[in-house]
Amino acid sequence: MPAHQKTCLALGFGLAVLAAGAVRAQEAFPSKPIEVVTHAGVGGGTDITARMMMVQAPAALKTELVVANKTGGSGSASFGYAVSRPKDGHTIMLITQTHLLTLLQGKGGAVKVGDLVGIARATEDPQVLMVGANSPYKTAQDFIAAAKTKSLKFGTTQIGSVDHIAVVGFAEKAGLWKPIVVPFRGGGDIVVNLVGGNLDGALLNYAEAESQIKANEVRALIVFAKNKMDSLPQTPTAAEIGIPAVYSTTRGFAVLKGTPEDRIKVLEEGLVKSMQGKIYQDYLKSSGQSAGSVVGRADWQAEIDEFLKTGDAALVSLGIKK
Amino acid sequence: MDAFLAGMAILADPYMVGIILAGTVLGVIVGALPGLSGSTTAALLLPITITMSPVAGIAFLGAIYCAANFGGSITAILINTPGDPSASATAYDGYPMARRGEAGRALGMSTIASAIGGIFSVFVLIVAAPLLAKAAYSFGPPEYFALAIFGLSMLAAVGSSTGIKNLMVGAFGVLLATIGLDLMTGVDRFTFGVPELSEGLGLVPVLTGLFAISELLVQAGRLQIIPERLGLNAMKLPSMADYRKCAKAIGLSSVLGTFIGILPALGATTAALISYNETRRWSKYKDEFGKGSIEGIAGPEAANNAAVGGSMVPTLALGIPGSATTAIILAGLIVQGVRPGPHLFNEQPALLYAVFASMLASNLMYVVLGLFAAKLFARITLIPDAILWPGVLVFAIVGAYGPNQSLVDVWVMLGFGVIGYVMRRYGFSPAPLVMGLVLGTMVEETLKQSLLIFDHNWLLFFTRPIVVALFVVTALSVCAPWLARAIRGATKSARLRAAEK
Amino acid sequence: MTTRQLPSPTTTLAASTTEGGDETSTTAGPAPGRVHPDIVTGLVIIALCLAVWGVTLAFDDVPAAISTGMGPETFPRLVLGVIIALSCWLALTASNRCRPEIEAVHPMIYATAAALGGVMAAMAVFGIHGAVVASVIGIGRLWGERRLPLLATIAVGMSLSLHFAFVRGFGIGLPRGLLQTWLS
Repeated sequence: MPAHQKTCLALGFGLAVLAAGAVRAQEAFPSKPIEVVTHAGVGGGTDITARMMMVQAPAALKTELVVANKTGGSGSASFGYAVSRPKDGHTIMLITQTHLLTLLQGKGGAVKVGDLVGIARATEDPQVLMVGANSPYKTAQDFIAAAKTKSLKFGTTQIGSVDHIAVVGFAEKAGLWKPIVVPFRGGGDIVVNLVGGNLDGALLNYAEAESQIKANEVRALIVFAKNKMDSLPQTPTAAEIGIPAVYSTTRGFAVLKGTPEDRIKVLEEGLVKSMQGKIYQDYLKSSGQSAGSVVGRADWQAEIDEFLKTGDAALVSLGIKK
Repeated sequence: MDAFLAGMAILADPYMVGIILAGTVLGVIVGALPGLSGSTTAALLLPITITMSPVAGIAFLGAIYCAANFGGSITAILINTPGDPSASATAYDGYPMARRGEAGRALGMSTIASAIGGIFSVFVLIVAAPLLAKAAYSFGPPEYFALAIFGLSMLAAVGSSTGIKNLMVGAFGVLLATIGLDLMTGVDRFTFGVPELSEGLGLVPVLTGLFAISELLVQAGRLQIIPERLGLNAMKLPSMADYRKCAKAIGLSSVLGTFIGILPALGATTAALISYNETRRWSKYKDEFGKGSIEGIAGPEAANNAAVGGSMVPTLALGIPGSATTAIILAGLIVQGVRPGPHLFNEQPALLYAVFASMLASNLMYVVLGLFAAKLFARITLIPDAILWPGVLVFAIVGAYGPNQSLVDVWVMLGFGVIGYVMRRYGFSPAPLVMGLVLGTMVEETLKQSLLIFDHNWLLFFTRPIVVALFVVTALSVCAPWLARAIRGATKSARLRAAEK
Repeated sequence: MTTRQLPSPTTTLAASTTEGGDETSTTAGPAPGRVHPDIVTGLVIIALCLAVWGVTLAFDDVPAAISTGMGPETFPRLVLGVIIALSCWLALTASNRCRPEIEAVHPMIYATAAALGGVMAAMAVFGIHGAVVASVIGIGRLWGERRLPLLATIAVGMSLSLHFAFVRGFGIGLPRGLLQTWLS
């Protein structure tokens, strides 16, 4: 064996050892079950998203996952819990825009705006303007024309929530009269009241009113997304009728700032891989959300930053944030 | 009909029967444990059901749902700790019966009444789901407001103290319901900076405190009193006379529970509370209520299980879940690719009937389980107090902590234990508080929603027929005692006059 | 209804919840020298309601842009008003009702309430298992159960079954004490 071959071999061996060492260093994470902190109670929409992701995650991340339900304070209890855990990547948060609004209002406790590092987006569900079948407004144009002459009644969830802010934002961008906002506990109640004729309109996710849309009890007028929805091919997007507005219910995973960079990377790869698995994709498809919901860290972080900016402006204009 | 038979055929499949049996046993256990409810269990097991076939997965969840509602009554009767909020009305009379040494009778009646209510509602579901579901659309905020007022007007009757004290306790419950973030303005009320309180007080910790912990304190004061050992009767099941006595209560509550269950915003807990009041109102033995009336068990138990079938109506026919558990069943259906809605009844009848069959089977299975287990469970009342109650305390802590993983909830529970003890000491029954807490949020929110919908014009309430009808019923039921006396007085004087002639 | 002089069945029942309910306590009308407990109760509740009313003054303001007419304080104040009115009624009509016999609080009740605090303290340090031991052995002994091996067996059995049913079986966390948090 010539000398240079020997050196090559030695070098190769050395590299292999190094590589193995590096791999081992990475394999040290995760070293125990990963906790997924959510603000939703067991059985809430966000909780179910977490559990659907978790079905195939143990294979991708090579560890068990457990959900920690820390309800309360629109996410502030979950922030309080996450900040009490070591920032070693074994605690990840499943956040929604609600968390971001809570942060913007300074209710995040020790967690401040900018302390969240996105890992991967899990769901993106566009908001759709809907009216009851008996409503006089047949098209988006009818609705907007009427809303420019008088205040219409919109069903939303809690005041200061994401869809409340979306309604106000939509009214502003379309130049409508100030909407009368009627808050409800959940999307189901709003759908019932749309059909019952108690409300003029509401921004809802497609899945929330799917059976009513199919039964011609509820009409979808505007989709607040960049592209038309496959499930609503007839309904124009907001941009198509001249209102540049995009609103969606978004959920994604995040960790707190200070978590080591290499571990964030492991988490990103593992989560994206498990969410591209069949079970999670089936869940997305059957709940009317696009397969493109799952995106990696870069896109998700950009979206978080963008929402923090627009959300801040909305809270200030509503007077909720001084 | 073919679809019906095809659906029922799943009961001939040993695998399906095994799945339903597993769901039923699990449901009874988690229903009885204060820390675990049917909805929590369904949520935890949802990912597992995805790996099953759609029929098996939904049958499994349905069986858990049916059985858990029954299971809650076991701990309510034996240790005054409702295993599920819907069993709280069962504790009012069930626990006094158990103390009297009649645990078996109470458990047996709860089993039978639950099954009858459950089976009745499943038949309603089979026959009339698409039709009845439309009723949900005619219930907007004004109608729910009128219904909640009707429920609250019953307060004077619930529990075992004078009417005025009951009203005060009920109003206290309504006040407690305002704790947390105000839905209408997003303002925190009475939270004192504790984020866990911003979602409002949890029903489970409040109930556990009021019933179990306050009873623990009462028992502490009675340790020197040697209890009479009435244990010999503890294992005895209800007699035929008992069933005859409760037939009316079961029938009435099954209908009422099914109807309340159909309304998406109301669930098994409200169904049980309202049925308890109605059972009492129509009973010939009103004085027994609160002291261990067997009708007081039959009514709410028939109702809360009837509400199970009822709440499946809007879930399956409209895709709008009527309770926490049906929300998860709905998620389970959707994940399996089953789209709920009116079309489901035409497109996938076999699957629907399979779901109905599994719910029927589950109701029948827990009758067998319940009657066998009643004798076994009844022995719990024979455990010495010094061993039983510390154990109850542990379960109460786990029960309060479990759902939200929050120590604040445990403190809330202990706080309400002391409040419940003080209330009982001064002659206030804690029972109306539950009613106030359950309906208080609804009264406030539907009132404000109605006013927004009516552009702040109160008079528009009277333009809605259902609202007017409910207001009339409320007024009649509040005035009923006076009316009855006036009528009795009038007929008596008429008879006297006739006699004079 | 309120002017009925006879002791109604519901009133005697209220008394019987505190193990009273014997005939000695059912004398109607004001007894000389002692205030009817319902009057005291009514006044105490009115005082508490006024304190809670004070809390409603400190609610956050609602920004004009989202105010919908009824503020967050309106409904609670309405309910407080109802409770105050009912309390006045309770106090004013007290003399029409029989006087319930209220026993002194048994010392064991205070001891047990203190023990509940002890159980919480044990839970803060040792988690749920600390609470099990403190409750089963601590309160068990306090209540006069002398068979220590029996209590210890129950405590261990309970701890294990809770752990396996909740943590292992359902994946629901139980309270962790400071010790467990440090160790993990």
